[in-house]
This record gives sequence, C-alpha cells and structure tokens, in this order.
Amino acid sequence: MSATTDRTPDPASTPDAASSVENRESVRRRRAARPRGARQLDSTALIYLVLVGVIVVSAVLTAMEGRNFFSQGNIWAVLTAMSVLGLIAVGQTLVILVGSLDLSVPYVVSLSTVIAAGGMKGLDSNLSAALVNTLVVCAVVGFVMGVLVSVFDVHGFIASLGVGLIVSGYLATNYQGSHGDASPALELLGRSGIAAVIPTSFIILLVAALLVTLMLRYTRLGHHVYAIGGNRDVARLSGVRTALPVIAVHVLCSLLAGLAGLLLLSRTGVGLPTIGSQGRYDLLSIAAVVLGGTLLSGGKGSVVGTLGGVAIFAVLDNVMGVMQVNPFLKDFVRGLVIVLAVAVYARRSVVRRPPRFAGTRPSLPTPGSITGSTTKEETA
Amino acid sequence: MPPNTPTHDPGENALVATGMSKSFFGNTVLDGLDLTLRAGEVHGLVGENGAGKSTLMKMLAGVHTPDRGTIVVGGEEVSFSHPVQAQRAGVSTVFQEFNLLLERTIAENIWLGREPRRFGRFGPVDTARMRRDTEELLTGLGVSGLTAGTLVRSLSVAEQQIVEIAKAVSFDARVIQMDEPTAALADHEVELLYSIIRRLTDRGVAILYVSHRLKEIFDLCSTITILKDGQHVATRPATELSEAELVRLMVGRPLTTYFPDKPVDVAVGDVRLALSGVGNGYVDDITLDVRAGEIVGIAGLQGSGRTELLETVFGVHPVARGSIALDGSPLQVTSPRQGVRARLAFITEDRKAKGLALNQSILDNALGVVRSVFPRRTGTARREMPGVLSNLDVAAHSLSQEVQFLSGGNQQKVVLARWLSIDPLVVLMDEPTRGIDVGAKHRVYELMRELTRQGVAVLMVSSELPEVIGMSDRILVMRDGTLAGELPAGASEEAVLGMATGAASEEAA
Amino acid sequence: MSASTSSPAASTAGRTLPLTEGSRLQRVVRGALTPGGAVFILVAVLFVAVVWVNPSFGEPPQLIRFIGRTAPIAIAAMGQYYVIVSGEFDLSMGAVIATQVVVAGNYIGDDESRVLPAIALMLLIGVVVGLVNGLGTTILRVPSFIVTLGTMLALGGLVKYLTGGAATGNPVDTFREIGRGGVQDVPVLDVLPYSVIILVAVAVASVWLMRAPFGRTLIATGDNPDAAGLAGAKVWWVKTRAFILSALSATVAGILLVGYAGVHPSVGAGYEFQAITAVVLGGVVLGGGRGWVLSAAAGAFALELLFSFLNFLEIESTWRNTVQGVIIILAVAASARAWSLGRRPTSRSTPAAPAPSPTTARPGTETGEN
Repeated sequence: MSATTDRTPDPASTPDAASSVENRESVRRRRAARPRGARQLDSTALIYLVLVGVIVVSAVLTAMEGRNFFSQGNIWAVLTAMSVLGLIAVGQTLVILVGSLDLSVPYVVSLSTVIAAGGMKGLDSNLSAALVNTLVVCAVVGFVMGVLVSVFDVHGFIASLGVGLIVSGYLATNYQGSHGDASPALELLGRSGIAAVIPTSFIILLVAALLVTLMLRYTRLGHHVYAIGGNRDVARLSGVRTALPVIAVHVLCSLLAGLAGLLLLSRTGVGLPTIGSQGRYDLLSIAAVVLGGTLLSGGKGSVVGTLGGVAIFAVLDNVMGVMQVNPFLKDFVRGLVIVLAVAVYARRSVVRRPPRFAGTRPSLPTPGSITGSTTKEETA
Repeated sequence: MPPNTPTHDPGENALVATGMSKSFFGNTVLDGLDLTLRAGEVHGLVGENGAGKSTLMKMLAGVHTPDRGTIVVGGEEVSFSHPVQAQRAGVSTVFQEFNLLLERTIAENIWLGREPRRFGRFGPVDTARMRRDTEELLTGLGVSGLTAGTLVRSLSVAEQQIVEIAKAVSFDARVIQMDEPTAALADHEVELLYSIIRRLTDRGVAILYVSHRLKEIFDLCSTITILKDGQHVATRPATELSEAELVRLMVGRPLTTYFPDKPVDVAVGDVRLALSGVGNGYVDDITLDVRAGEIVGIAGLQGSGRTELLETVFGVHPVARGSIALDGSPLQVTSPRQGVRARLAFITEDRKAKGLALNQSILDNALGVVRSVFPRRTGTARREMPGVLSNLDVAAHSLSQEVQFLSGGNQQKVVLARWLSIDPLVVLMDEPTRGIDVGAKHRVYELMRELTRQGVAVLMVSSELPEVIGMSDRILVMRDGTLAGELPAGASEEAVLGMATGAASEEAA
Repeated sequence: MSASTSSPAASTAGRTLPLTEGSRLQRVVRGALTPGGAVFILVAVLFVAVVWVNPSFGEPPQLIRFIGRTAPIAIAAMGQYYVIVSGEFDLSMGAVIATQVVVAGNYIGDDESRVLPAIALMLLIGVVVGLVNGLGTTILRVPSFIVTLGTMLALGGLVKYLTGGAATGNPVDTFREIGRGGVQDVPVLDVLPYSVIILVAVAVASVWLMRAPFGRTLIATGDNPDAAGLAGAKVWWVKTRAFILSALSATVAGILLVGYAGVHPSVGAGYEFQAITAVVLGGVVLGGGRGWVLSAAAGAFALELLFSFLNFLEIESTWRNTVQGVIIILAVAASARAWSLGRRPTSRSTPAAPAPSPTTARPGTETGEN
C-alpha cells in the first residue's frame, strides 16, 4: 500500500486557480524544501527488479546445468513452492504491519495438517467438517495471541514464541508420526492446475493475497492496522481502538497458516506433526516480508512486496536444487540473507529531519531565512 | 459542507475558559486562568518557558484534565477526557511535534479513525471520497499543488504542518490552537501560514496562537494574553502594547536573595573551554569561552539550540565547522566517552530519560560513569561515595535504594555525584534545577559555587531567568541556533528575554 | 516536588547513608519477595514436591547426580542471563551447542592429544559466534532475535552439511568423562560429578563478573542505554561481550552434554528456549535492567525439578515445550509489575516515578514546559 508520489497538476490549470492564494513560485519553493531521498525508488518496485535479476541469473545457471528454467515442470515446481510459504508470508505481513510478530506459524501449520488429516480419515464426506474444525482451531490459536498482545501488553515475539511452544508440546505428545489420511478431493486439488503450468494452490495464494490487499486498502480495519503499526500513540489519539485490529490480524495470520497446512496436506496425503518446523516457515516468512519492503516495526509495507520476496526465495531454492547444492548449505545461505536483508532495510527506514544549518552554509543566517529547516526541537 | 462558507458568526465567543488550574505533584503549574477566544480572531498567548502556556493548551486539547476550571465551547460547557472529545467539540490543536503517520498519505492521515464508508455502516472505505474531501480541505485553505495521495514522509515540514491544520479544520473546528507554528518554517512558508490563518479567521474560526516570536504575535493577533509563573498577568488588545512593554509584562519578579553569594575568594583563571565558530546541523557560528572558576549561563527560549550546543561540546553531535579548545589544546570529541575522558561532565536536561538507570541503586548510579570509563578507579570512588552523597544531603534509606523511589531533588543529587566522581574540568549543565524542591535547589547552587572554588569551569543552560541571572558570572543568550549576544551578571530579566526573543528593547543591562 | 520527601527520609539528610537498609534478616525477606528471590523459594517447594513423590530423589547420591545433569542448562541459563539483562535475546544457543558437539566428535575422534586443542577451538568458535551476534545487533542494528535466529539457521545448516545429518564420530572417552564422570569415592555423595564442580566454578565466576564494573555497566545498559551511552559506556561493546559470554556458556554446556548425549546434530535443540524459560522463571525482566545471575541458574533448577516432578507423575516428557510456553507467557505478563511491588521502600516516601495523572500526556503532544 505504499502509494507513490502522484504527479501533481500544474497549479495554473486547476479550475479554482483564482481562489488559490499560492502562486507558482510559492509552490515551487515549497516543493524544493521537501526532504531529499523521499523520491527514491519505491521499495515494491525495487524488490520486483531484484526478482527479475534473480530469475535471469537462475535461468542462466539452470541452462548451464543443461536444463530449462522456464520449462513447464520447473515453473510448476516454483509456483507450488511459492504457494505454501506465500500464504504464511501474507499472514505474517499482516501481523508485522500492525507491529507484532508471529513465530508460532510452523506449529500451526503442522497442527493444521494433523487435525485435518485426522478428521478426514481419507473420506470426501468428512472433508468440510474437517476443514471447519481445522480452521476454527487455528483461529482460536490466533485469537489467544492477539489477546496476549493487545490486552496483556505482551510483545508479539514473546506471545507467539510461548504459544508456539505450547502447540509444539501438544503435537509432540499426541502425534508421533504421520497421522490420518487426506480426502481424495483434497489430494486432487493438490495435483490440479491450469495447463500443467499454474497449480491450483498458486491460484489460491493469489486469491488470498488479493483479498488481504483489498482488506488493507478498503476497510477501516486495514487502515487502522497501518496506523497502529506506524505509531500506536497517534492512532490512539485519533480514537482508533487498538485491540480489535491486533486480534483480527493474529486470527487471520493463523488462519492463513492453517490454510497453508491444508495445501501441504493436499500434497503429502497425510498429516505430519513436524512438517512445519522442518520447513522453517517462521524465519522464512519473516524474511520474505522484510525483503518485500515491509518495515519490521510496522506501519509500512504491502502484500505485493511480500509476494516478491516469496518469489525470490522460491526461485533461489529452485536453482539451488537444480545445481544440486547441498540442502543444508541452503540454510546457511538463508540465514545470511535474512540478516543482511533486515540490516539493509533497517537503515532505510530511519527518518532524518533536515538539519537547521545544512553543512556548507557560508555566513550567519538571519532568523527565518533558513529553508527546509527544523531541528530536533529542544523540549523544555 | 462547502468549505468556503463562514461557519461561525464573527464576534461571538468561540471558547470561554474560566478558572483553569492544574498542579503536578504538588507543583502548581497553572492557577486560575481565564481566557476568552472570540470567533474570527487570532488571540496570542505569550510567556516565558514554564509560564504555563503548554499546560493550558493541553487542557484545552483534552490531553490533561484540569484540576479546577470550566470550559465553554459555543455556549455549551464541555469536559474532555480524551483528545478525540476535544476535537469533536470543535477544539483542534496543532502541536509542535506533529501527530502524523509518516508512511501514510495526506488523506489517510486526515481521516484516520473517521474513514468515510460507502454503502453505510459496513461498506468498504470510500477512498475516492477521502481524496475529494481532502482536496477540498486543501483548496479551502488556499493551498494548491498538494495531492491527497502524497506520503507525509515526503513532505517538507511546512507541508506537514498544513496537513495538521487541514486535519484540524476537518473537524469543523471553532477553535484551533497552534503551538509555535513557525518555529521550523522559512520566510515564505510563514507567509503561507499567515494566509491560511487569514482564511480561517474569515470563516469565523478562533485561533489561539502561542509563540515567542513577538513579531508574529503583533502581525497576527488582535488580543494578547500574557502568562507568568502559571498566573494570568494581563489580556490586552495588541494595539495597546509594544514589544518592549510585552517583554516587561512577561518578566519582572521581585528579586530574591535566593542564590548563594559569589564567593570573594574565587580567582577566575585562564580560559578553560573555548569555542570558535563552532557549527553543525543544530547550531551555527558559536564563539564563546569559559574560564576556570567561572559560571557562564546560557539563556534562550525553547528551540534556540542550547541543549544541542552542550551536546556538541560533549561529543554527542559532531562539530562540522569551527573548533573547540580545552585548556589551550584542541579538543576533539566525537563521542560521549571521549568527552568523559577529557574530563567533561554533562548533566542532562531530563535525568529520568538520560541521566539515570531508574531500576538501579543509588550507589550503582553514582558509580556509573567511573565504572564505564575509568573502571580501575572504582574502588576508590566506592569508598569515597558515601561521603560525597552525604555532603550533597541525599536523603534516602540506604545506598541500595532504587533511584526511581527518590524525589526529584535527590535524584538530581545522585546525578551530580555521578559526575563529580570523575573530577571534571568542565561541567556542562542543562536545566540543573528543573523539577526539584527548594532545598535541593539551594544545595545545587552551593555545589556550583564549590566547584568554581576548585577551579572548575561551569557552562549552564537554564530556562529560569532568575537562576541564570543570579548564578552566572556572564550570560550568553541564544536565539535560533546562534548566539544573540552577551549580557553581564545581574542583567535584568527583560534584557535577557528581550535578547532571547529578538524584541527591540530599550533596556540595556 | 516540594512536598514529596517524607520526614523519616528527610532526617537522614547530612548523615552518611548505610550501604543497605535494615538487618540482614530484613534484607533476606525483602529479597525473597522479589521475583528474583522468589525463584529460590520455588526451587525449595518443587524439591519438596519431587521428594514427596519419589523419596529416593532426596538421597545425596541421587541428588548430586541430578545437579550434575542440570548443570548444562544452568550454565546456559547464566549465559542467556547476560544477554537478556542487557535487553537482547540469544536464540542461537542450541545451534552453538550442536556445532560444538559436532566439532568434539569429528575433530577429536580417538586422538586423546587433541582434547585440549579441541577445547580451545570450541572456545574460539564460541567467541566468533558471539561477536557475530553482538555486532549484528549493535552495528548493523538488526533486532537481536533476528540476528540470532539467522545465526541459528546458518550454523544449523553448516553443521548438518558438515556431518551429513547423521551422528558421526564419538570423541575419546577422556573428553566424554568431563560431562559424564566425576570424583570417585566421595563420602556421602558416592560420586561428585565434574559437571557440578564446573557449575559451581561458573556460578562463582558469574557472580564475581556481575559485581565487577563490567557487570554493573551491563545492567545499567539494559536499564537505560541512552544514559549509559552518555555516561561514556561503549554500549555496542558491552552488549557484544554479553553475546560472547552467552555463546561461551553454550559451549561449556555443549562440552558437558557430549558426556550424556553422544554426538548428534540434534543435541541441544531447543536449548535456547529452555534457557530463556529458566531466565524468565528466575525473575529476570525481558527488556533488561533487572535480575540476578544466580536467579537464572535457580530458574534452571526450578525448571528441571518441575520436569522431574511431572515425570514422576507420569506426564510425558513431550509436554515439556508446552510447559515452557506457558511459563514464558505467564512470567512475562506478571514479572515486570511484580518487581516494583517487592522493592518499594518500607516507609511512605512518594515514589519519584510519576503516577499517571488521569490523562497522561501522550508523546507527540509534548510541547515542553511553556
């Protein structure tokens, strides 16, 4: 939702020019006082630029291995890989936007696979009941986290860490290996797609991403999510009730993680209690969100950017697989990428107010003639 | 409602506040103030730092609840327990620190919490209407060339202020308060603000204009209210006042024999601290010197750069232009640690935020600087500390008591002990007696005299005019980031304030 | 603030303040009421509970073996304490342990002469990891939980890559004895495990360290980094040293764990969460500035006693994570408030921290005292 600076109409051409007090000169000088660097490349555009670069490099590397990056099968693989992480990352985007965090997603994913598979028991007739059960449980988990963060003032990191551990213990105790059986209809979904290029799961991701984007843009809830993440106190001053949006995004995040689990189930056919933690979805989803330009502190970012980040990871994974890079080394690279990504983006987000006396000012400035000026106001 | 039709009858009382009073922890900050704002009028509110202006504004804005007093807006008595209520009652405030979401657009900021919806209660947000309404607001203020979809972060400070004003107007405000609105504006931007204010008054809005820039007060205001020490001094039509008269009303207290006399046995020595043309992003062309055994006071109004000057000397901000010398040799500090090593002490303005670790004990806080920079001296410092603290009359149960439970005065004494332990050559003090009781103040003044006896050079920033005048051997006045001038000891409060505000004052020392 | 000092306090003005208030007994009681002190009571209570369920637990040989088994997590908890009290988190402990364990297995092998060089190498690795964590947090300004998660991922991947994911090589018995063995034929105790001796040594060193300037500066940095910086502390170096200590503690824990668990990349998995739980249980406030190092160790004992207790009640050990999760959440939600209740001075002097007026001024509306 990072709106770019619109093209402004020529002041003289505005219909009501007569009632405007500002002449052109004034407008020009006012614009000249704007902080430098505000016109840098929009971060969403940047991430997609990086994505294109990564794709190009990957295509080349793949070709060097004698394979075609853009083959039907390969694109299918990349898009499939994107769909699970993508759903989780979309949820994580919401939570990070509001200024919180969700480290419990791997366990919610695992929980979702075992509950759904256990409920379906391989029968289509159980499908809808199992789906509902699964999603309700996920929603409850999200609700608990949301309440901890908003009402009990526990930081999202701790709340989700704790809840994640709780779920993890439950899983470890009650499920020792594969569990249950997915219904054939679900498994069919996992295999289906358009023209064998675009898997259905990817379409589900796109639909979910679209719905969340619309929510962020066109509902009060969405606007308030950005506000609370941007500056909780400013939001409160404007009368925004901060508890509801926080709880809502945590519920949505857990629901999306549950949905991701269902997609995984459609491929594996059975519930697996460790599939979430093995997939390292907590760190990867945070990484995708940060790469996509969302600020870790909240208030700025987009689902579109996150999808770009997810795509980059999926493509990197794919090419590392083709080049037969040891899977464990992947983790090493990922860890490095994550830390560097956050470091780079963390610097970008610092807002520097222009100084009162810009460096090379020659003589004594007379009061009031300093352009674009402010200092950190000396608060008495 | 079309933005350009007059909304309120000129001449009627937009807001009448009576008997407004507020105390914090037994300190009366505002006592029985009456204020009447008439529609279509700009009413100026002046007073030096600490006079109570900001407290009054916050009460009218719904940030503080008054201990006593009534507020009547448009004929109806109101009380606010939350800023949103004040806004809804028609009182909007533009604070110095803007309450804007930087990563959101102008429209999103203005309509935060009140986003218009299509199709009634559960429909989606009507972004098109938000944009239209925003543009109407902006043109209604006479501003062109700002589009509703621009991110606030990419606006200049003046433009951000316009957004704040537009937001205030969007509440259909009868009263708009502005706190030091031109502090960060350039000349031509001030012109734009003037024209916006004129537009607002044409529409019957009452404006409460708080500023220390007296020129603007006289440019804009038809009535001026003067506060001093929380009391109402006068409310007069602007035509009946001159700048000098205004300054005289702002100050003028009975002299007190409150300050320890300057000791006769202090020999002011050589120049210890010398600044020559020092400048960076916060201050410009500062040339001053402080001699050993001397107390140099720095006066000036809020925002004049005094704290930033001390921070520059101490090494918090780098020196971009000019140079600093300590005892004759060049001083290059680029971090507080280097400042401490050079035996500079910095007593910050806000002891709770930057001067103490509140959860730690008195002893740990008092030894904090020594432990950080001169760890080997910890043993000696530890042995001497009980004596130092008792010399300062620190009142507590024991040295292991957490400082957060001490009174302000005792906390400040712990801060002093902390810095004395490094045997400083120069002591930089920022508002050394703010928020502390009379007894502790006296002890601090005595300590300052003792320091001069030991040959320490003291550079003191203070907003309390009596303090600056009573304690300083020389008074420097800052204004807008530079030195406005120097006054000798014992100068009048009017002379100091006059130099600080830039008012033409016929009174010299 | 003119009327705020109470008369008992005011009467001490001018006389030298005592180091601490009240008699020794009073101090102990006051200390026991803080979360940091209450954990010791918790340990006692849990100990009683375990003995009640399983009387042989209280026999000295059993007890000392229990302490020996708990030594690794207690040492790790003390390491995590340094990081948490400075206001950060170290989630890489488990990966560090796994790395050290694998180094022990692969590098030492059957060669006894390699034991000492191996230990040196492991300590070096610990220092490097701590440096990376510390610099990433302070210089790169990445939140510590991200940096250490990244380190965890990177180290974990590296380790699995080097070992191919399977247990490889067992180090020679002498090395394993550090964790497994002990002083034989001790009266009453039968065997005094080496790990207990190491634990006591580490505990003594930790207490000494926290009393030294470094330790006091560490806590002050966690309490108020701005004030610490203005007092001349090198905040980045203080925090980085905390991370180094944490990684070294994980290393020592790893060396001890080799004795029990053998060499496998999954040794130490989840250790960071156990350590954080122990620290939190010990009343150390997440966010820094409060807490005692021995309380962190006590928290580790409380946790292990709790697990033993649940074990004897035949609750599966797979519930451990859940228990930890609940403890973390409850402890965090309660801890910060509990500290201020326990430490208030006994008389009625007004606290300097302002009680919020009915409408506290919100940031963003500060206009200074005009």
